This record gives sequence, C-alpha cells and structure tokens, in this order.
Amino acid sequence: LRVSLEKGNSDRRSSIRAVAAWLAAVLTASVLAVPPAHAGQPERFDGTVSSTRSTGLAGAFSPLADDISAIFVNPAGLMNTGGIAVYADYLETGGGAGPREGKFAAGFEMWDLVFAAGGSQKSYDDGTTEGQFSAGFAINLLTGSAGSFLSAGGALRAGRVAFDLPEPCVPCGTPAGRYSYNALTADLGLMIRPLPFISLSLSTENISETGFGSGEYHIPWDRTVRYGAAWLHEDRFTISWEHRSTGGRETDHFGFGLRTAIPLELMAGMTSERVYGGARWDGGRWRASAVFGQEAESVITAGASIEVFFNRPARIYQ
Amino acid sequence: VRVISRRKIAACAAVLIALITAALSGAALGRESADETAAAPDTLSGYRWGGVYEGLIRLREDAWGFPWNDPADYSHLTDRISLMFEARHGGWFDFFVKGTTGHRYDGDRWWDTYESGIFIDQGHISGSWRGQEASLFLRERIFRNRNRLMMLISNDSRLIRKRGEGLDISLSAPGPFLLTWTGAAFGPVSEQTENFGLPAPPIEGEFLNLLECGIRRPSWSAGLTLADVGSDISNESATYGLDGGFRAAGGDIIIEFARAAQRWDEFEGGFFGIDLDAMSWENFSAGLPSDGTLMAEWTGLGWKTESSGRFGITPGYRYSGDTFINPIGEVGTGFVESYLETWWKPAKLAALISLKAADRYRYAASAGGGVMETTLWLRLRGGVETTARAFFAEGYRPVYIVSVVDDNSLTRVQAAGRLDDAGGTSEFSFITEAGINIGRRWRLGGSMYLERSDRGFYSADLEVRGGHRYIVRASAGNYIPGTAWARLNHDPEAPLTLGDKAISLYARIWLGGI
Repeated sequence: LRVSLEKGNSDRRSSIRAVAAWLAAVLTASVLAVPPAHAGQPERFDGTVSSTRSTGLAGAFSPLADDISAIFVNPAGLMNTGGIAVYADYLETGGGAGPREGKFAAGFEMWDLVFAAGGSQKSYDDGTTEGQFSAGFAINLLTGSAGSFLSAGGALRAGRVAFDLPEPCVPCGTPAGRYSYNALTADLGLMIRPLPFISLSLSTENISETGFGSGEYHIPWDRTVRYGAAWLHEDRFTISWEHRSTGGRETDHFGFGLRTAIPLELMAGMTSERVYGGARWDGGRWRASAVFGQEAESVITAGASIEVFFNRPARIYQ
Repeated sequence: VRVISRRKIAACAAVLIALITAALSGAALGRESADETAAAPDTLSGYRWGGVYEGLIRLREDAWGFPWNDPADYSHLTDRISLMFEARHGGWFDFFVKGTTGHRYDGDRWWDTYESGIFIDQGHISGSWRGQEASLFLRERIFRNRNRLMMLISNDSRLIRKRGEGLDISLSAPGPFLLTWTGAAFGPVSEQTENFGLPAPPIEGEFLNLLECGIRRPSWSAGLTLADVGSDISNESATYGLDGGFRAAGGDIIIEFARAAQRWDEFEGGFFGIDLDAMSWENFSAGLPSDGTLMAEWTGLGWKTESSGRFGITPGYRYSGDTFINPIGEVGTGFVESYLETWWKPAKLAALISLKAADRYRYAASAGGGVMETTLWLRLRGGVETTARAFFAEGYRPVYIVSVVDDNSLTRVQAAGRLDDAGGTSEFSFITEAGINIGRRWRLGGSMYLERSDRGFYSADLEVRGGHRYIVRASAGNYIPGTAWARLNHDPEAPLTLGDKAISLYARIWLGGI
C-alpha cells in the first residue's frame, strides 16, 4: 500500500478508533436483535442499490463507477472520484406504487485513498423499509501511464429491515407491532484499466451472504456478484456491459453513454428486454442527472440526483 | 351548378387546352426574335443510365415466410435490381424508363406475396415546346400542390398512392399563367407487374381528370382546380376548388375553397353552397357547405427590432365539412378550427419560441375545445439542438416532449422523452438512437425505445459504406429504428408499436452508371 506513513498517524489512529466503535455498535445491535416469530415478514431483503447513473445505464455501472455512488456498487470505482464530493438522489417507482428510494453519500480523498460513506433507504407503502449504510475506501494498487490503473476497494455494509405486523401471530405468540432486524456484511471490488479506454471490473456485495433473523424466521439477503467491461472513448462516449448474479438469478446489463458538445451526457441501457435512459449535466462543480427505468410492464422508475464537488481534481472530466 | 358529366369535363378541358395552345403559339410565333435562332444547343443531348441492387434478408422470431416476410409498407423495399435509362435531346425531349425486379403485394391482399419477375417500374416520355410541356407517365409522382394550404391533390393520397399511369399536359404562357391537365388511370396494384409492367389499356379501373389553372402576380394570385375520379360506370368523387391570395400589411392573405361530392350533380346551393342565413359571427362555419372546405391564413406578418429579435403572428382558419371526401388529396373530414400562432426569434440566440392556440371542433366526435401547443427550440454549443414541446387540449391530458440531437464527426445521437399524462397514470416514452463512426467506413449504432411505459424496444446495427458504391448494414433487435422517432415527436396520439425480434441484413450496391 502506498499509504504515506510520515504524517497524520494520530489522525488515522483516531479515525480507526471511530470506525471500530461504529462497527462494534452495529455488530452488537445485530447480535442483540431478537427475531420475532411471525408470518408476514418480507420474503427477501433487496440489497442492490441503484444510483441514478446506474439506472440510466440499465445497471451496467460497475465497470464505470465514476461517482460517489460507487460505494454501493463497486468500491474500487471510488478512485474515479476525488477531492470532496457529496451525492444525493431520489428514485420513485410506479408513481409511488413501488418503493421510494433515497440515497446520500459523501467522499473525500486523503493519503492517496478515497474514502466514502453513504446510506440508502427504500420505503414501501405497507410500511416496510430497507435501509443500508456503507463505509469504505479505495486505493490504487498499480498506476500506469496515460491513466491505466488497478484499484481495489472495500466497504462495510450494514443493513436494516423494518416492517409492521398489523395482526398478532397467535400460534407463534408474536404481538402486533413494528419489528426491525439488523445485519452486517462487507463488499469488495476491483477495477482494472489496462488501457485508458478499457475498464474491467469485478465486485461482490454482501460477501458473507448474511441475512436477517435466524431459523425459520430468516430473511435472506442475497450475495451479488458483478463483473463487466466498458469502453471509454475520449470522454465522448462509453459502452458498458455488466453481468450480475444475485440469488441464482443471472442478468446481463448493457449501457451506453454519449457526451454531446455541451456538457450533457445522454444515457441509455437495456437489461432483460427493458430499456432505461436519462441524461446527466456536468456543470463543473456539480453534476445533475435525471433518469428513468422500466421495472416491469407499465411500471416506471424515475429519479434525479445532484452531486457537488469541492476541489474537484482535473482527472475527472468536466 | 349545371350537371356536367366527367367525359364532358375532359372534352372541355382538351378543347380549352387546344385553344390556349393555339393562342399562345400564335403569339409566340409572332415574336420573331434572336432567341429562337439561339435554340437549345445540341450539347444538351445525352443519355445516362444507372443500376442499383438492394437486398434485405430479415430473420424474424416467428420466421414464417422466410426470408421475404418483413412488414414492408412500400412496394420497393426489399430484394431487387433496378436499372434506369434516360435520354434527352436539346431540352425538348426526355425519355426515362426504370426496370426492376421484385415486387411485393401488401395492402391489397391479406397475405404477403413476393414476385421476383422483371418489369417496368416507372417511366415517362415528355416533350416541351415553347414553354408547353406534355408527358406520358407511368407510376411517377407528378402531382403538385403549388404550396397551397390544403393538399387537394397529393401523391400520397388514398387514390394516387396506387401510382397510376396516364397523360400529363402542362401549358405555361410567357407570363404568369399556368394551365395543366392530367389524365391518369389507376388499375389494381396487383396487376401492375403484368405484361412486364407496361401500362394496361385504359379500359377498366379508376380514371382521374384533373384540370388546374392559375395566375400568379407579385401582389396577388388566383387559381382554379377541377377534378373528378371514377370508373366507366360511376363517379367516385368530383372536386372543384378556388384559391387566391393577395398581399396585405406586409404579409399574404391566402384563401382556399373547395367542394367534393360523389357526382357532379350532387352539388347543391350554387357554386359556393353557402347559407348566409345560417352564418353568424359566433358560428361562421354553420353557413358553409357540409361538402366543402375553406382554409385561410395570413402569413408573413412579422416585426423586427435590433435588440429583441423578430416576432411574428400567423392567424388562420380551417374548415372541412363532415361530408367532404377527398380521395385524391389529404384534406381531412369534419373539423373546424381557428388558430393564432405567435413566434419569437431572439436577436442574439439561436432559439425560437412559438405558441399556437386554436379553437377546434370535430364533427364526428361532436366535441371540441381549446388547444394550445408551445415549442421551444434551441441550438447550443457545438450544434446541439434541443426542442421542448407541450400540447394542451381541452378534454385531453397534456403531452410533454423534450428532444436532443447532436451530430458531429465522431458520433450522432438523438434522444427524446415524452410524457403522456394519460389519466391516473402517466405514460412515459423515451427513445435514443445513437451511432459511432469507426474510421471512415464503419459505423456502430444502436437504439432503445420505451413506448408508453409498456414495452421496451431495442436494436443494434453495424454498417459499412464504400463511398457511393455500396452500403451494407446488419442489424438485430425487435424494431426497426427510424420508425418511431417522428411519431414520438409529432403525434400526440401515437399508437403502440408491435415488434418481433429480428436479424436483418441489408445491402445496397451501385452496379454502375453515368
């Protein structure tokens, strides 16, 4: 690791202590959570998180991963960001019929590392919420000329699911009320750019494939493995592909982004014969996106995001 | 209106043309001039020929009728070799013939049939003398609209799209006068390839007689149109129309009127058929004939200031009665609307903002109301063009459309998003078509299309070009790019598209020519 050891040791020790304390708190909460015995709990925990750019590219995002939302998809992509950046988005499915999803993430660059943390929450009309919080960093293991590199990243991810039990479960003796579970896991990612216009990626989310609760009241949280490739042509257009495996379901995602003469990037993508698209405006100190995605027949996800930079490095195109 | 038969109209037209031809020729002959001795040089004589091969193989998922099963809307979309020859002499004689192989019957029969025999597809023999022109034509798009408001004669109309054959005579006086007569026969499309495509004797089928005359002066214009369509035993349609225009307040006021009925003797109420008693300022159209159409527009009204740019307004009125049937044109039936369009072109921006407000009523639906259409067009840095449009109509949900087009040496992309507030739920449509030039010959493209939140369509294509000599394109997907773009952008009531997965290989090869 090319971490500088000459300065900032005390800062790092305090940061590590803070992270350790946070991890301990999450683990304690996870262990102490008592799984209520009842029917009606969510069948699965949907751990995949889609940012607006990911949605606009139909999910073919992990080999690009060029904004702070990479912390949710491929932490190694954080090396494509820099300076200090703040990201927030909101996506809604089916005009409110589906989940409403909001995210917030922030990252900064220090000691040639990029650190980021972010949280997301999906809310459903029946009162079920699925929340996640991720914190991690990325590092360049190898740096070549003309922009080639090999980066790795990792993140700890805490998940929380909460739901309402409107009726008591008499056989299992569970009263009506609101219940919640916590779980902790980790993500890893790799990104390789052997040439400045080719990007390859491999990442996994929920590496321990943990779930919520236990026994017959277990709410599974599937591991997600992604790998993909992208062609980046002189910051003019990108073609990306991602293969994703989640809970035994294999999907391929194809994305296309094209930058116009004005700082507007048009995005389009397809997966499972559903199309996605959107646009991203790059205003230098900020970027804003508006995207849509087809979740099912006659069901649309639409969303928007804003990303603000402080000390944006020149290597990120504007 | 007197009862006039179709044949009498044709005879009268021929006599009229002969008289005018004689008069004009006499006048021209009297003008002995040096121009006549300096006739068209012989070097204008020459000939040219050319040949093209076009082939399309399409593999569809259901694969019945392979390989000639593409949903062609045109008779000349798929596999064929076309050879053309043209010879002309001195600017007064022109001969053109185009032969082709391959013909598809669509529309006439419920099944899709392809015949690969060779036949004469198009052609003409035309001559001109002292400004007068005559032409025998075979299935060419010869009909003209003279930039009128109403498309009273159109090559894309229900009848003429059958691509008839016949005689076209055009007389032009040395002044601003124009007189044309066109006679055409429209036989069954399925028989056009018989006898190598030579025109069938005009014994059966539908016949068109079209007489147009007009005068155009700098400050005013006037025109007359007479047409009838029918077979030996009956008339299908008889149409007459008047058009005129004059300059007023820096603009042009154009007024056009036409009536149509199945037979000439069905017109009632005099030449115009207007019932003045039923007409009022509140309901002007009540006095107009139900078999008539009236359109008027005041164009060219505009003002310009150095600081603000240019402004303009275009008021107009359109009426088409609920029994006005126009098989040779594209005038709709059964509506009335008055509209005002305003536009502003800012001085220092490549932008155009327009607002069109209309009061529209449709007789078939017995409903109407206000309609408003707003458009913002911008050309941005690097030639990027963006357009935002919104449609609001009383009784309907609004429609919003935003589109972007960027075309440069490396890439081309056009994208549009459209939101139909369809009541209860919003239907969202999105299309993007993009292409990347890889070197000078290759081009990689793709498109994605979401239609009304319901179905997703996609396609990818690879194209290689060899200058003007050939183009080969391979594509795969579940719709044909290019078909959805215009409809998504311009038709507020676009229907859903059906698509099948298909792989296509298209080739167009230039065989040679001069």
